[in-house]
Amino acid sequence: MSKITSRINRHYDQVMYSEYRNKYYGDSDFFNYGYWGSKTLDQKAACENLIEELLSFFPSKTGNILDVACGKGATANYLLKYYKPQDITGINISEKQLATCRAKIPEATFLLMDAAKLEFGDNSFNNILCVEAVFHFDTRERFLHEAYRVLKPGGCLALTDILLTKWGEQKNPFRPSGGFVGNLEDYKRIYQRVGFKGVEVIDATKECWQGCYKNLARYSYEKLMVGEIDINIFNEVAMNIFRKLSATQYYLLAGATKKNSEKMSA
Amino acid sequence: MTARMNRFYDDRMYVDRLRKYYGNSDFFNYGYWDEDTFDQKAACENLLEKLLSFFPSQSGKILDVACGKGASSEYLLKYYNPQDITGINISEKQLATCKEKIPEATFLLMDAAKLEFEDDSFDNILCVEAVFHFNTRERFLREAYRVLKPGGCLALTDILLTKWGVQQGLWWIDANNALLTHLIAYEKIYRRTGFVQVDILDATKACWDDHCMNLGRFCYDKLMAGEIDKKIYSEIAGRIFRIIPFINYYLLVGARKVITE
Repeated sequence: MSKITSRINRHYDQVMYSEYRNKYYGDSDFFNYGYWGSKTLDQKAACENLIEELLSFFPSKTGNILDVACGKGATANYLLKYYKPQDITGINISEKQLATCRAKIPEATFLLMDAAKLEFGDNSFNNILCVEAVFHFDTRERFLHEAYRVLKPGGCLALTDILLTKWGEQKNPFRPSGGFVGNLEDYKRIYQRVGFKGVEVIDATKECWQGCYKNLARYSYEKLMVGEIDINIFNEVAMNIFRKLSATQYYLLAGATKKNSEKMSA
Repeated sequence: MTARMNRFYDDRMYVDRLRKYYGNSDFFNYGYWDEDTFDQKAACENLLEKLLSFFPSQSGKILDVACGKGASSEYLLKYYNPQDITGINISEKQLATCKEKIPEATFLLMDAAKLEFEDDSFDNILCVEAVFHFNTRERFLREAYRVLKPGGCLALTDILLTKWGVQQGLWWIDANNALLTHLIAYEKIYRRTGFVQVDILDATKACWDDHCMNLGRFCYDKLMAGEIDKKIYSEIAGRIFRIIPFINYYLLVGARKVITE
């Protein structure tokens, strides 16, 4: 395991199992910023919203689906709304999180795998989902090549990504080098270079990142005021957000499709 | 509330660490961040330029309401003679700093909601990040309108709370002012006062969001360099985190007094 991989695992294996965070996520096992509309009331609902936003990129919610960086299985669990567990495969680099996933949905497949080196045959999946993780991959582009390869022709990849400022990218210990992308045009071009068609990139910074930290601040303030947490825990949560605030440029939703077939029919 | 406000600002504005963040200037506001704004002092100067651009011309007499430690007045010297600058403040301590900085300008202890000036006294009025403090915002606007010369312009920045924030209450925003959370209702108070050419710009990202981002960057670098410890870093983070859910809009406003027929 590379240095950065074990650092990422140590980090998430800790924060994803922290009591405060679990409570904040309504014990849902979700762990992402979510998508906040004017009527979104809590973090769990926002996370479900975000999955719906991503699923709307797919031509249809059928066939088999790969959930890349599946966390503790909350996304896979939500997918049961549309998919049979047998059609769901999740991959992750953390055995701890995978164990949680398997306990949750025994009939689905959960595998230890590097997203940048997929161990699947070509044309294996109808659709691929990847929530808030692609910036960790070594590299983002290698993953996109792999995703393209294992997608069936006409299949769709839907993901969320976070672009940091140049300063932020340099300081972030959880990101492999070379991942900096300064603007949405350059970002879109990566997908096109890989071969994807119908590439859609949506700036959802306000709905996702801002929505989340504002809600977490509100939630934490209320807990502080009623004495459910003390100032040290409040400041600890604040510190984590403050660090991200100083570095986050864009939160993006992206959808991209693999060409229907390599050769045009005559 | 006045006493608490003075205690707060008279303390915070003179903290060495904060002065350093403001590039050892006497500024104390969020500033306006463009792509090429690199530090807080430059952002504060930028914000003044944005406000001054509301004025038909940077000439005549100017009133700086809630003048802080005189950084805005000092910046105004770029365009104005010190004799044409008047600053008002409710803190004797800050006024002393102002008077020392620009002896030729006029600095007075005065409540912004009860201006002790004659009608039609000033060509333009400036008020940076303070109007939400006033008891009340609307009383101040009426007073500003009265002391402006016909055709004169008021330029200010203001903060509107989230609905959640109104319920919680925030000591440094006057309770009457806090209730106003909608932009449409906000514009109405200017119209009601008599102002024309009311321009309201949502600068929440360029001012508040980007201030947070820059402060975060600044503090993180200091933390990594060992200039501040984790405890101080987390306290600053906590301070920002406590304000975040309250802020709905940071606004730039320009408004003119009617030119008499």
